[in-house]
Amino acid sequence: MSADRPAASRRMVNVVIDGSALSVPEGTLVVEAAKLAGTSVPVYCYHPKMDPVGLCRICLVEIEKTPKLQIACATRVTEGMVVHTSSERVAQARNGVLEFLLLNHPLDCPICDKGGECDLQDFTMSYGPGLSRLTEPKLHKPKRVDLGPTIVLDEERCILCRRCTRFDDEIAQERNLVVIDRGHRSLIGTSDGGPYRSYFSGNTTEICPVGALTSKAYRFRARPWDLTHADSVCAQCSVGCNFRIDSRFGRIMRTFTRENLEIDDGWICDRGRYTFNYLYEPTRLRRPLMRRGDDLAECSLDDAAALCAEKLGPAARAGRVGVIGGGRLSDEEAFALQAFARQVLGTNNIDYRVHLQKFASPARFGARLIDIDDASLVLMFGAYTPEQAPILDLRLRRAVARHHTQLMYIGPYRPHLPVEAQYVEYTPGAIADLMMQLADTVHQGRTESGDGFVADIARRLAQAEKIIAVHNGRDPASVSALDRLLETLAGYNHRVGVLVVGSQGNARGAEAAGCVPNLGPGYAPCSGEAGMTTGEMLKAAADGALDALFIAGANPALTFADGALARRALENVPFLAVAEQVLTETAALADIVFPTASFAEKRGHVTNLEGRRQAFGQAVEPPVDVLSDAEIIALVARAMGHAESVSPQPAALLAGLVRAESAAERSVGDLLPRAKVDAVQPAAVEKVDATHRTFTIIPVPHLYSGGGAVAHDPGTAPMRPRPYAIVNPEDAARVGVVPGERLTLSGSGGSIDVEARVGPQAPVGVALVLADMPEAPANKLLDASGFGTATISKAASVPEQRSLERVSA
Amino acid sequence: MLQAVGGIIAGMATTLKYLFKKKSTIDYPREPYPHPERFRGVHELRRYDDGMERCIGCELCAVACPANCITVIGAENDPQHPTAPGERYGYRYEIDMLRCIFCGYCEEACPTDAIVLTPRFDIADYTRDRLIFGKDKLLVDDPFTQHLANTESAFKTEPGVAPPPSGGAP
Repeated sequence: MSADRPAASRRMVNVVIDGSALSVPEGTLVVEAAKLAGTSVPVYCYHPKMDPVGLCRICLVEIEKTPKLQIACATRVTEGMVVHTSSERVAQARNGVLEFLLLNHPLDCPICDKGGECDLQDFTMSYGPGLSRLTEPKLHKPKRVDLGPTIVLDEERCILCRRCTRFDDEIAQERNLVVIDRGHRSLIGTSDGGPYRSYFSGNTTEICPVGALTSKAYRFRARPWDLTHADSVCAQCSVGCNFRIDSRFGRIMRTFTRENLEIDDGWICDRGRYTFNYLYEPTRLRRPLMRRGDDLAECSLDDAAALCAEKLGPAARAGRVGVIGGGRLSDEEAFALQAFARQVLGTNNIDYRVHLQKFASPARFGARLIDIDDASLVLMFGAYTPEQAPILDLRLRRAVARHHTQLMYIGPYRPHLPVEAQYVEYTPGAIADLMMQLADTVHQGRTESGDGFVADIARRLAQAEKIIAVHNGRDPASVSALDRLLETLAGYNHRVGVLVVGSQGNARGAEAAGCVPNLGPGYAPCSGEAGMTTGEMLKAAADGALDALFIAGANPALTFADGALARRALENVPFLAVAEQVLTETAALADIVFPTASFAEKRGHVTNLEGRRQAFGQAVEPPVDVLSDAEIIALVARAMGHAESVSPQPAALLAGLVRAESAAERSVGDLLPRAKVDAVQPAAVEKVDATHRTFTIIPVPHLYSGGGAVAHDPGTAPMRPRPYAIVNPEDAARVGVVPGERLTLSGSGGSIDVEARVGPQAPVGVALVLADMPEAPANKLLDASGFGTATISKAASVPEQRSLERVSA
Repeated sequence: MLQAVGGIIAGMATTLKYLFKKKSTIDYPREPYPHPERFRGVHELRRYDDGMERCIGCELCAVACPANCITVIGAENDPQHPTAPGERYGYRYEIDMLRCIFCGYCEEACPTDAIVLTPRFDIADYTRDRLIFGKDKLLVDDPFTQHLANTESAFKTEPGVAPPPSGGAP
């Protein structure tokens, strides 16, 4: 709380609050000191994570030797201060402030979403006047104002505490939400007059002390006292934010933050917050499906398990079977999946990696998320945290704004970063070289003398006291080079750390549970020869060298780098079983589809990117025929006559995992001996001939991209981007690309139709294509390196309605 | 012996006396049960004079209910075709009549006088399911035939007080 404020020094001062004497650090706010003294002072505008503004005046307290009442939220304690928070004068002041706040408040508490958990309601009951003296009609302001895709604003209820605008300014640092007009005409709006679009918009509904900001997803769905709470952990990305799932009548109504200062700092992003309504859509799988000709028809669980056993058995005996998945499952289920592969199918062909990611844990210098807070320099390459790990990015934004952390982004293009950053444009294949050069420069102490930008970066590194590297574990060569660089820096007494942003929520947990071809649970080397990686399995399946594939919690058809290979493999493999929640591109190609429970419908543990294993509870019951992945794996194992190998119980599985980890003397937070990876190195992006219409394709992430839950969720549908490709203005002029028109990109694996955008973030000769969109799978254009080339031409079809989303130029 | 005869005569005299008194029983169901004015029987969901539902789905009745027999699910009004004035209406409203103790707390809690207890009490049925009353059984069709519509009662809202459909906003 006061870690953000340099004013809070170590010196302690003695204060007396309501008769209780205590000693607090100098510079502590009176409201915080009162909290420590066990007294509560009512607040509206004050929020512990934001700078005090002293707007609402509800926190007035009496301080001895000060003639007038003072606001507790903006007054800092001094030696010998005596504070009264419940005197007659204070009560009178609060009563008066509340009467003013309620003057034009509509008092529609019976229908207000906040009713029951509203600070204005609570404080009025505790301190406020029982009656209004207002005889004139109340001031009316607009109600039901559509503020953006997620938020509805009720201007009448707003008490102008500015928590939301300050959140957008200080925490999210997007500075879009502002107060418009003055005095009693003040309204909340956006600075550009457009919709309020933010990845963190849901947090404003939580910090709003009244019911002014309400979320569209929860509007009038339930009252706070109806809700059953379950503590959970978000599995949408690898940060692992803690949140609470509130349900009513067995249906999820909303999600709510559950503050964990070391992980999420009390915030969650909108993808984590709003992706739950897909569970109630008709597209959610509720019955097992079996292939009958070209169609998938419903069948019973027993039939599905029996067919699975019948097909997997011979394939396993022939050693022609593979298992893909784990990164989206819980730790227990990932352990069950690898046990299924190794003990039931007798193969080491298991891999969780279905994206570009090769490692989920750093081999050296593992860092914690809180290490970002006081880092002097954050070196980001490969990963793009604003889209891939928004809450990590929020921490980074705060560090840059408040602690003068430098952010250095190394990558093949120049993405938009919300905070000041230094961009180093570098082709992916050359990043390893750059790291080696930097290591050499630092090692040889040539940081002062050398010139050129390598020496410039090295100088910055040498001046930084604490360096945190954030990458996506995609390129083994540059990761090894990074380790070498960090080792050199550590040798010069720099503090260093690495965070690997996973492509899937539980990538690190799956890696630790043994879903890799050469390592078992607890990173223990597995017995026997190392199995095949995902790439090798798909290659083998495409070539007819595999008879069966079992995929759980993965969608390689859309996410695997070489999309053409993945699709060919999944089409050619004689038997494909998939466990999924919705009919993804992969599940649509399967012979058997098992419907699986979502994270809200089971219990277990997930491991976040820093290696922290966190428990999540079950919020609601799954539909009748829907089992958790562990139960499905156990069901198939039992059908194959190996009932003892895999337990369906999370507790038993966790015990097994912990036993394996202690036998290996490694636990999930430990650093990883390198997992076996595909032999592909990222190719240097070739700058193609300027006269061609051929472009290098670089896939770019988006928070709402993906073909699974988020593609079928009505809550996130308004935020979903339409597939686009961004080209440099120079290229656009050269080949005649007009923003907004439809383009066809044709590559080796097929062609996709996207919307044209023009922006300087794309280097010349490069088209940045939105990745993981089911409508236009960018991986059709890519090869195993994760890059590709494509020819751009105008789409033949008539363009559809233009996207309302502003071009991010 | 005399004593016994005396007893019979006394008894017969009582019988004779009551034979000519007004009967305290009624010929139910052919004759209506004369209930007191504020008898608390089966509930009714009322409407405003303009036909709008009074219930706004706030669930305060459900909170007040000591028997926990009321279930309300609110929803957002379609602004073009509102069901109730304001932004929210009672999408589902169910009372488990088997569990209800007819205490009338729901009526007291209701901020819009939507739920009232009527004198009707004859709801016996053969299945439990049919005794969970939904909006189909509770909601009156016509605001002018609803209970309390034409009586002088402390519970009655004056005609014409229905708030505008926009929920008070201009």
